[in-house]
Amino acid sequence: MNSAIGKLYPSTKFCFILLVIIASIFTPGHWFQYAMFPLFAVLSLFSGTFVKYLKAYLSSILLIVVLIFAVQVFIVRYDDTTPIWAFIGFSQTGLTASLGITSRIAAICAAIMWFFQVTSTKDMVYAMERANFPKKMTFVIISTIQMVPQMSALSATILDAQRSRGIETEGSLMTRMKAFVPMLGPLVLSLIQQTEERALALQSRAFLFKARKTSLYQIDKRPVDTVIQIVCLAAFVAYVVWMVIA
Amino acid sequence: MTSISLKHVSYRYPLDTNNVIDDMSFDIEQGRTYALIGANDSGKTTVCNIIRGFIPRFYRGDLTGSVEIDGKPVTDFDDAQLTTMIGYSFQNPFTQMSGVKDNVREEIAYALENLGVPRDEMIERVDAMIELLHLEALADKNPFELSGGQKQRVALAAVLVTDPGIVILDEPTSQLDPKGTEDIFDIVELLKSQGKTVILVEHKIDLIARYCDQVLLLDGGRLVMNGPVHEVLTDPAVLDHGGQLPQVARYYLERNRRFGRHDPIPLTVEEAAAQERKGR
Amino acid sequence: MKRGIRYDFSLLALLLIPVGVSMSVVGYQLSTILKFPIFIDQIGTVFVSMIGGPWVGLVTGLMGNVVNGMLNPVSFAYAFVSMIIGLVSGFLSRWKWYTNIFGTIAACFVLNECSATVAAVVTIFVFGGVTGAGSDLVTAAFLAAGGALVQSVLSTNLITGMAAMIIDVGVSWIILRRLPDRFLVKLNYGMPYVRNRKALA
Repeated sequence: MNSAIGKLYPSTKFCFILLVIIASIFTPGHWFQYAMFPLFAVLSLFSGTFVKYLKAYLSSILLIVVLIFAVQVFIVRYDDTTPIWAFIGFSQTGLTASLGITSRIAAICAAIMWFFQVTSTKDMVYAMERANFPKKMTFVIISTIQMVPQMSALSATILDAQRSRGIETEGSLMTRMKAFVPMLGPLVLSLIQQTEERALALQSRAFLFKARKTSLYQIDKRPVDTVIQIVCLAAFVAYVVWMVIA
Repeated sequence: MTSISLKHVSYRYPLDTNNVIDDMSFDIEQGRTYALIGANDSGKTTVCNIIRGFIPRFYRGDLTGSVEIDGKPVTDFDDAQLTTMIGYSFQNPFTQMSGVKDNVREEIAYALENLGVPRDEMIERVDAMIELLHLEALADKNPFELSGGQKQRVALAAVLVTDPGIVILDEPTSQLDPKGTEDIFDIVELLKSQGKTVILVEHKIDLIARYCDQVLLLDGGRLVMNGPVHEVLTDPAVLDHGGQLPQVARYYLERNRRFGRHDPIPLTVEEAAAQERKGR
Repeated sequence: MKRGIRYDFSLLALLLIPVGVSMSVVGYQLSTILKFPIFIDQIGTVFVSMIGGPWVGLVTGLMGNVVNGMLNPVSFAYAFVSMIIGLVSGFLSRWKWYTNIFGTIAACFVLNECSATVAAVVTIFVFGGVTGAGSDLVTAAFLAAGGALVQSVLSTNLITGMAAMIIDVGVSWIILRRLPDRFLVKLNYGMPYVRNRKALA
C-alpha cells in the first residue's frame, strides 16, 4: 500500500473500477472485456502488487472461466448445436454466449480483485466513516475483517489440541463427522463468552455515544484524487452518450 | 462530599432465585481509594456493575434500592454520560482490545473518537496519556501483539483518556505477572495523586494495604465490613468472612496472641520496620 | 419481543456477526480438512440467525461472502444465497420453529429450497445472462427459479443440499443448547432457547 496508487483516496479507486465494471457490462462484444485483466495487471505493476495479483487472479478466476466456456460451448443445448459425441455438441451460439459471459466475469473480477489489493481495509473504512456511513456498519465491517484471519489460525490450534486428546480425524465418514462438533464447539463457546465481555468493554469506550465519530487516523483527498474522479465522471458521461448514439 | 451512594440495594440476575446482592448500603466519597474484597462470588463485580449502570441496563434482572451518583439516580444518566464519568477496567486484557484498531495510539484514542473529540485535542490527550503511563515503547505496536500486562496497561490508558472522575478497576492484575501487577498499582497511585475516586476489586491484600484508604468486605452478597484500611485489615474477623489479611498484620496478630502482647498492628513491611525502630 | 430492525442491532447482536462469519469460515475449513463430501459454509449464518434474528442473520451471511469476495469476487454474487438463509432462518427462529424437532427438520427443508432457488437465479444472472439481453433475462430467471425448486425436490440436489442444511442447523442447535441461560436472556431472540423455563414465569 505504499505505492502512489495505494496512497490514492479509496473513493477515487472505487470510481475507477465502477467505471470499468459498468463499461464491461454494457459494451457489446468481448474484446474490451478481455483487455481488462491485462490492464489491471499492468496497473498492479505500478502498485507493487503484480505477483500477488497474478497468483490470486489465475488461481480463482481461471477455473471458472474455463468451466463456463466448456459448458456453454459444448454441453448446453442451443438451436444450432451440432452433435459431436454422446452429449457433447458444438454450438456457435454457445460460443458467442460464453465469450460474452466469460469476458465479463474476467473483467469484473479483475477490477474488484485489483481494488482490494490496493486499498487497505483501514483506508476503506475511514473513507466510509467520512462519508457518513452508519457507525455500526463500519464497525461490523472492520471487526469482521480483522477477526476472521485470527479465528482461522486459532482453529488450527484447536484442531491439534483436540487431535491430541484423541478425537479421531481419519477413518470412516461417521468417525470424521463425529469429530466436527468437538472441534467447532469449544471455539464458538469461548467466542461467545468473550462477546459479553467485549460488549461491556466497548460500552466503556463510549461505543454507544451518538456523536459523529472523529478519527485519529487521517488520509486526505489530494488534487490528484479530484482530477482522477473528474476524469472518470467525464469518461462515464462520454460513454453513456456514445452508447446511446451508437 | 459524597460521590456515590447505595441504599438498601438488592439484586437478582434474571432466572436466578437468590439475590446475589442483599440489602447493601454504603457511600463512596470523592477522591478516596476504596478496595472491595471478599471471596469469589461474594458480589464484588456485581456491585461494580451496579455503580456503573451495567446493571440493570445490560444484565437486566431485579434491582431494588437506590443507587445515586452526585445525588441523582444512576438510571437518570444515559450510558454516554456514565462513560465519561466512570472509567471501568475489566479483568481480561484480551477482550478489552476493541478489535478495530491496528496500533496502540489509535486504540487509546478510540473512546475519544466515539465521543467526537476534535482531532487536534485527541492527539494531545493521547500523547499525554502515553507519557503518563509510560507506553512510549508500545505506541506504534499492534494491540494484539502485546503481552497480557501490556494489554492491560493499554486498556487502562484507553479508559482513562476520557478523564473520568471515578475509576473502577475490576481485578486488573489477576492475569498479570508481578511486574505487570506493579505497573498497575503504580497507576493506582497516580490516580490517587490526581484526586480521582478509585474503586478497586482485588485479591492482592498486601498491595491493598499499601495503596487503599478504605476497605469494604463482602460475603455472600452482604456488606459485612466497611471502614478505614487500618481498621478492617487488622481485624481477624475478616478471615471468617472469606477475606484475607496482609501477611505482616497476620504475623503481628499471631505474635500478640501468643505472647500476650498488645502491639499495634502494622499493615506493611515499612510500617512494621518503623514501628520496630520506634519501639527500640 | 419488540420488532424493528434497529432494535435487532443491539451491541451484543452486532458482536455476534464477526463470530458468525468466523464460524462459517472455520466450519468450511474443518469440513475440508475432515474431507466431508459436502460444503459446510453457512453454519455461522444459521447459528447467529437463531439468536440474533433475521436481519442480523442476513448481515452475517452477507459479511461472510464479502470477506470471501475480497479474494474471489464471485462470492459477492452468491451473497444473496447466504443472505436469504440468514433472513429466513431468523424468521423461523422468531416463529419458534427451532424449539421442536419437527419444526427443525421442516426448517432444514425450507432453507434448502430457498437457498437452491436463489442460487439458481444468481447463476442465471451472473453466468447465463450478463449479455444484457433484457426481457430474456427475466424469463430465464423465473424459469430457473421454478426449475430449481422442482429440481431440488426431485433430484439428488435434495440429498446433498438437505445434508448440508441438516448439519448447519443441527450443529448450530447443539451449540445453542450449550449456551448459558444468562447469555440467552440478553439477546432479543434468545428467550425460546432458555432452559430454565420455570424461572421465567
